[in-house]
Amino acid sequence: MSGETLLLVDDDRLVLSSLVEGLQGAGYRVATEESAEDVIDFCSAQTPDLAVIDIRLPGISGIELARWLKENTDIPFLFLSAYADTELVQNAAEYGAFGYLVKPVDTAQAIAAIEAALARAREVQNLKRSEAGLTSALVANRHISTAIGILMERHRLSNLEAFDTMRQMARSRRQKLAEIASDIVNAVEQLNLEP
Amino acid sequence: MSHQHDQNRPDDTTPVVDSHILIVDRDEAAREALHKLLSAAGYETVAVGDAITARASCRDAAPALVIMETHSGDEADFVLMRWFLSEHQLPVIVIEETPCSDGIRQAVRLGGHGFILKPISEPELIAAVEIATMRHRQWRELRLRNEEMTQALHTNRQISTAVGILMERHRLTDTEAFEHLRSKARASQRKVEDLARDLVDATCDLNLPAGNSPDFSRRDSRGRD
Repeated sequence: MSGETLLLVDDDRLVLSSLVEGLQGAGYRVATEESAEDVIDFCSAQTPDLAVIDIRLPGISGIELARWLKENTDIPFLFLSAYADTELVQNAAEYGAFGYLVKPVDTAQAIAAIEAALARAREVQNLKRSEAGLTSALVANRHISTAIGILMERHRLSNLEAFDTMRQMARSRRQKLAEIASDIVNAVEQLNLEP
Repeated sequence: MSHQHDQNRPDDTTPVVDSHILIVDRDEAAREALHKLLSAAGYETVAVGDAITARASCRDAAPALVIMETHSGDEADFVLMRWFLSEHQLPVIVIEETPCSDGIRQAVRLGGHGFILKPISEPELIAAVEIATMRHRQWRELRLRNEEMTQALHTNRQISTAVGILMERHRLTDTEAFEHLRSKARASQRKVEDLARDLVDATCDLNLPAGNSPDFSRRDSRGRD
């Protein structure tokens, strides 16, 4: 539909070939693997936009493969299965699946599920990235704000003046603002620790 | 509007849905079929046949999930879907009679969590409900955490600046300065962030000449730095 790369994982070649044809016809780039071991190799070199995994693979199961993907990559996944008892579906949901297709899979149904999974996974990934950025900002900003307070008090500056002073220091020393701030806070901390 | 609750669940597996499911479908037979499938699996449902009743039901008691039929080219369906998604942040599963790539694209763009094509099978329906509920819960928690961290970023800025002022003023370490601020807040029965903001504002006012904005050239003339 929009050129995303899908990785289809199923040990049933008949299922693979019928799905590949339909999905390629809809505009996706499609790669296939028949075992979880092959997927692990594949994903160490490439990053598909979505993995569509048969829940019952020989050897490492689809559920275990999903756990590996979750712990080692950012690749979202949905499951394919001939079974859909509530417990199995709940397990799939808890492992982080963005969809669950019941065999025999109709291509139109697969496309709808894939499009929804891609879009919702993108939202979750954006929120996770934003959270990581906010976490870094919280640590860095804490030092910057403390250093601003120190400079305000030491040089009788306003908040903005103190920030500008620190920014000029960072620029002239070719250091990052957070590094200068850390140096100021640590230096004052050491001085004030001395008896 | 029919409110239906089935107490006799077929197995011990408790659905993850923590409230009722709102079914919106113009076709009474389709609503009834959906209710039967869902209640047999242990879900509580409310089934309605039009947008006005759907909105009223949602305002009356927010569902955990919405399952609604959309018809290709019928903008009213997508207006209702947008209302569920943006006004109530509810996960929505879309049912379509015929697969239509434009309809799917539009529903995905709006935020649809799942799609089911008619004829509906029970396994597909249950899987869509469980996955949509869980992923929506994850999305909601992530969004809430983002909001809290953004708020913390703002609040912490004031507190950290106040800590820096106190470190310099009273020759305190970072931890001692924070403890000083916290004990002052406790003694005056105020929030730490409120006291911090007042301290920063007061210091700022003291350090700024009255009626003037920050200007580094002034600082030189007053012998600072």
